[in-house]
Formats: sequence, structure tokens, C-alpha cells
Amino acid sequence: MKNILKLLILLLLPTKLFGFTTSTMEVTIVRGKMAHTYLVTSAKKQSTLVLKNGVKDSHTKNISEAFADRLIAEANRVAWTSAYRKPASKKTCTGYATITLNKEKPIVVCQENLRATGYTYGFLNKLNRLIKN
Amino acid sequence: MRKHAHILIIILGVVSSRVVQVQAENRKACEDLFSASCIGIDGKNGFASKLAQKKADAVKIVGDARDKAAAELGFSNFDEALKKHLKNSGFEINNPVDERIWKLFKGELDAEGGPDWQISEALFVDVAKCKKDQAAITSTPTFNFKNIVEYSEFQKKVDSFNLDVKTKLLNAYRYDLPSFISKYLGSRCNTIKASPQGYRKEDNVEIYNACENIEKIRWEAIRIFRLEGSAEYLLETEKFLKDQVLPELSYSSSQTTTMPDSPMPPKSELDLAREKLQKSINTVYSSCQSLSNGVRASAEKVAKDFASEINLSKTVVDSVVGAVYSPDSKTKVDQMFKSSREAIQKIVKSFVADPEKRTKIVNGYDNLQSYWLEKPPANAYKNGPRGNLILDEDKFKPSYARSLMDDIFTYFSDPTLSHFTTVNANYGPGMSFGSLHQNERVNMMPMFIENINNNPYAFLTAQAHEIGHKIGLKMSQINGYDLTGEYKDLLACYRNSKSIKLVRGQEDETIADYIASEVLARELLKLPEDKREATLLSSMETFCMFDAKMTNEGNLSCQEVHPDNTLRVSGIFGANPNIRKVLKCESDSSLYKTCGIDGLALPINNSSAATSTSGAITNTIEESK
Repeated sequence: MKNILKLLILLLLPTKLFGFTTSTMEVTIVRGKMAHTYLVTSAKKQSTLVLKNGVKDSHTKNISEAFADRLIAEANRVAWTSAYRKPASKKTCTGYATITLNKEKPIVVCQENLRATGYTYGFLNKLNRLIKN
Repeated sequence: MRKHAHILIIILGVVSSRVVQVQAENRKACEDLFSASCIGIDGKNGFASKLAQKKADAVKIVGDARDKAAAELGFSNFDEALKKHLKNSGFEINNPVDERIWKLFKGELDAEGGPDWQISEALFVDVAKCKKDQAAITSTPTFNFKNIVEYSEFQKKVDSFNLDVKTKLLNAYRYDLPSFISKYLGSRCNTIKASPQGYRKEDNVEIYNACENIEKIRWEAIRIFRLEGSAEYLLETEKFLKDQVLPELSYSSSQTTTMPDSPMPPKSELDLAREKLQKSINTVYSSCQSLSNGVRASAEKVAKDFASEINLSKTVVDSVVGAVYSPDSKTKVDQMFKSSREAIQKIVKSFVADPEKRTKIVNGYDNLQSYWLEKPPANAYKNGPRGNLILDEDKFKPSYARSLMDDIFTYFSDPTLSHFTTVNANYGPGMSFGSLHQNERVNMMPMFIENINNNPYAFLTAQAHEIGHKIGLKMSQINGYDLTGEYKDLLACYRNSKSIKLVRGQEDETIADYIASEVLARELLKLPEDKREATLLSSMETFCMFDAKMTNEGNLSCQEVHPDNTLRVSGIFGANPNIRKVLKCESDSSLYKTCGIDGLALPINNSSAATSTSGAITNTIEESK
């Protein structure tokens, strides 16, 4: 009986339950003096997608943890493409958007990196559709 | 010019007859414009299907273009090309595949789609097989095994399963190092960091070691990531991952250690075999989950990169731009833009008293452009790796870019081509970043452009709203002609509890709606009286569609920069004094207080209203010549 109980504990408890880990992603796009910030929080209790655009927490949508993780993974890939993929080492970087993952150092998507800009553009449109639709 | 006007006469003739059909008895346009425009006789907003149809039409344009490009590369269509590309990268798609899940995977649907493992199982052959094998292993009653041979035979089976999964996982992450670092490695490190007692070092030595070196591993991954696209990339990645693939986390079940009263008897060979097997079986449970995550994430990246590559082909660019941004539509959009811009310039002249400010705005409007995407010239392309012509990134470096936000390379390198499937429009103030300059412009995105033919008054309303943004509250401050004083009374009216109870932050969108309502009132006035109400109702279509979408999908708490759609339609458009006059409504509805700028009252003499059947916009075009 004890062994069965032990096995059940092992099977039923996903790692995150013990880890209590929370992941976050923040994408900000600034045009002139207007800023749009999308914030994704992945947490066991409740994951959310928030759009802030001048009005405090102007939009909030509850999403599943798995979906939040997928959005964060997509942001992570865009951030890597922008920050590390050739030709990232440009003399100038004209900011298109800023991606902050898990409150670490923000990564700027440079307009000079056209492919990363394209991916970011698609990602931002997706976030916009998700929160507004 | 006259030729184009004649084309519009024909189009608007068709539209006018259609709007008359939608007019029904007992519409309460004067009392509650939203209900009259958006709510059917069943008491429901039936515009969701219309929006879905528009979206489907837009997706079809993109899909047809991609199919054409794939056919040129020797595939029957884009789906086949993508599936073959995925298979060549180690991600075989189930056949047949659940169409909804496949569309979700390709980014054609905006929905969550269910748990990750369920999506992965429905999509990928390897994940489905993993689940099947996992079920076979875990359902085997190992407690019935009676001798060491049985244990050892089954142990081999489980080991083979675990090795197979590990190999497939390695293959998957070759294509997605960012996810490998953040998800595969990072999540393990986060878990042990958050619960060191639950996952003790002695039970997870390899993971602890990797986490202690995570920065070093990350930088090595970045070095290899920079090679992506080169011949050595896959070899280097494979080598790198072989050293980094980790076991599943092992939960340290016994958190306190107590000394037994008497020494434990030595374990028999059978006990040891049983324990070993149990440990391996425990790994089986989580390994399919890991595979599912890894395969899905990496395949998504492979699919996106492939889609982006196809999107950049000349065939896709020409097909999509040609289908949406046609010369015929451009003529109509430009004419309507000029007409609305001129109407707003006249409105500004009527309510901005300060001559310096007024001149600055009116002249500034002359420089406001209507953005239009043109097909790139032939020299914008180069030969791609598949032998087809693709957009040459070097030709689109920012110094050559058409403008900052509207770069064609950006639109087409987006794997989902979202620019062409998103219902949106925007006003962009002129701005400069270093050597880059963006002209001040209004961008009606493709799903709106389509309205110019199907519902020109809905298009006019949206376009006038965007043009109106130039003189919004905050935007007027940004643009250097603060209109706070001019809007003081209007905004106070909207804040009133008998109006839309405007909240802070919604001023610019509300003013843009109000300006659009003034433009619309002037256009309605040019229509024969019997067509005005029906035209007004149909011009609210966009708001109706957005409302239907939000109502249907719910789950949204709003304090938006836009007032609620019901308020926008009934409380701004329906409460515009000029629209009310044009419709011969009472001055106030019982629901919403009338709000408008005093100096903008139209001198309406209904008997002198237009009797032409050619349509308001056509008249405007004729006037503006």
C-alpha cells in the first residue's frame, strides 16, 4: 500500500507543483510617445495576457498555463533571433520593440534586423488579436 | 478622374440598393443606434459569422498565394510542401491530421487548442507513438513478475523506449536552441531552485551540475545559434546537445531520514531488479511529456521559418499585394481619403479659433498620406536557395525602406502574414529615428480595404476615424497644437453619466469617433432621405462585428482605450447632433445625451437635401475635383 501511494505521488505531481515557478514575458512597442506593452505571466494558479496602452491594465485575459508557456517560448525565439543571429552586430540599433523575459535584461529588437522585425510584427499582431478578440 | 468616379457610381448604386434591403421595420436608430445596427430580430448580434467570413476570405488570399508558390517548387500545395519540409527535419505529421489542430499549428487560428500534449499527439507521428508505447509499458502489471528474467526482459524494453525518446528529443531540439535553454534546461533549474528539498542533489546530480553551469551552456548555445543556416550548424548542435540532454527530474520522496531500529536486511537480486525497473518506469511517464514539448516547440520554429521563406517569394508577394492592393481599390481609397480629409479640414476651420493653430492643423492635413502597399520592383528580388525569386533583404535595409513601420520585407517575413489577416487600421504620426523617417499616414490594413467595395460607408467611418486621430487630445499635444481647450466641453459632455461616462485614457479614441461621426453626418446629408437611415446602420458594421466577437468569446475584463462598442455606436455616433438632425430624430434619445461641438452644427434644410441616387461619396469626389 505504501509503495502504491508513493508511486501515485510520483505520478500525479508534476514538477511545477513543487517548483511553484512563474515565467513572465513583456513585449513593448513604442511609437512616438505612445507605448503598448503586452505582458504574459505563466503560473500554476492563473496565467494571464495583459495589454497596457496608456490605461492601467487596460486589457486582461486569462489563458492556460500551457498557452502562456508557448507565447513565452515564441517571444524567446524572437529575442534570440534579434539579439544573437547574424547580422545582429550592427553599428546602429533603431528600436522596434523590447522583449523582457523573466524580468531579465531587456532585449531590443532592432529595425535593422528586418527578419526579426517581421517575426515581432507577426507576434505583436497575434497578441493583439488574442487579447481583443 | 471622372472615369473612377463613374466606377464608384456603379459600386455605390449596388451598395445603396443593398442597404435599403437591410432596412427593416421598427428599427430604433434614433433611440438606440447600436441595437438598430447590430442586433437582429432574435435579440442577438449576428455579425460574428460576417467577421469569420471576412477572416476566411483573407486567409484564402494568403493560402492561394502560398499554394501557387509551392506549386512552382514542385509541390501540389503549401500544406504538402510544409509537411515534407517538417518530415525532412524529423517531424512527421500524422496522416490524416486533425484539420483544426493543423490550422492552429500553422497559426491560422487564434485559439489555445487544448493541452500541449494533446495537440502534439494529434500532430506528430513520434509523439503519438510515444504515447502508445508509454501506455503499453505503464499498463503492464510488473508486480506479477516472478523471476529475474521477466524483470530483465521488461527492463530492456523500457530502456529501449527511454533511449528512443531521448534520441528523438535530441533531434527535435537541434532546431530550437532557444527553447532548449529556456524550457528544457531552464525549467529544470527553476524547479530545483524553487524546491531544493523536493529535488535533492543526490537524486539529480546531472541536473544540478548543468544548472551550476547554465550560463556557460547558454553562451555555447548562442555561439552555435549564430551558425544557423550554415552547413556546420546541425553537426555542432548535435554534438552540443549530446552532452546536455538530461534525465527527468527525480523527486526525493523521503525528506526526513530516520535511523531504523534494526539494520535493514540486504536487498535480494529480485528486489534490486524491481527497484531499478520501477525507477525506469517512473521516467517513462514524464519522458513523453518532454518529447511532446520539445517536438512541438521545435517543429513550430521549423514551420515558421519555412513559411517565412515561402512568404518572401516573388509569387506570394505579387499575388497577395495584387489581390489586396489593386489599382482599382487604390483609386477608391485615395478618393475617399481626400474627401474625408477635406471634410475634416473644414470642420477644423469651424471650431479652432486660434488662427496659428488652425493653419498648422489644416496645412498639416495636406501632408497626411493614405498608406498603400505597392508591388516591389523586379530588382528587389534575388535567387533564393530553392531556385525561386525571393525578396532580397539587402535591398530593404532601412535606408532604402519605404518607411519605418510599413516595410514590405517586414510584412512578408512575418511567418503568419498577419498584416493581411488582421482587422485593424491605424494613424501614425510623422517621426524620425536617426536616419529613418516615417511620413505621417493613415494605414487601412487589408481586411478594411476589402470594405471599400462591399461596404464603403463602413470603410469611410473607419478611415475618417483614423484621419481624425491627427487632432485627438493627446495626439494634438504630440503634434504641437494642443486642442485641450477646444475639446473641454465636448469631453465634459461625454463624461456625463447621461452620456457614455468617458473614462480617463479614452479621450483620443472618443474624439476620433466623434470626428468620424461628423464626417459621416455630412455624407449622409448628401443622400436621398429614404436612404440615410439604412446607410447609417450599415456604416456601423465594423463596431457590430467587434462587439459580436467580444460577446461570443467573453473572458475579457475591459478598461479599454476604446469605449465599449455599444457606447461608441449609440453614445457617440447615435448621439451626434448632426446625425440626429440628418435622420430627423428628437434632439436627445432617452438613453444617451447628445454631445457635439457647437460650432459644427450643420445648416440642415431637409427639403434641400440631395436627391441624387449616385451616392454621397461619389458626390464628394465630384465636389473635391
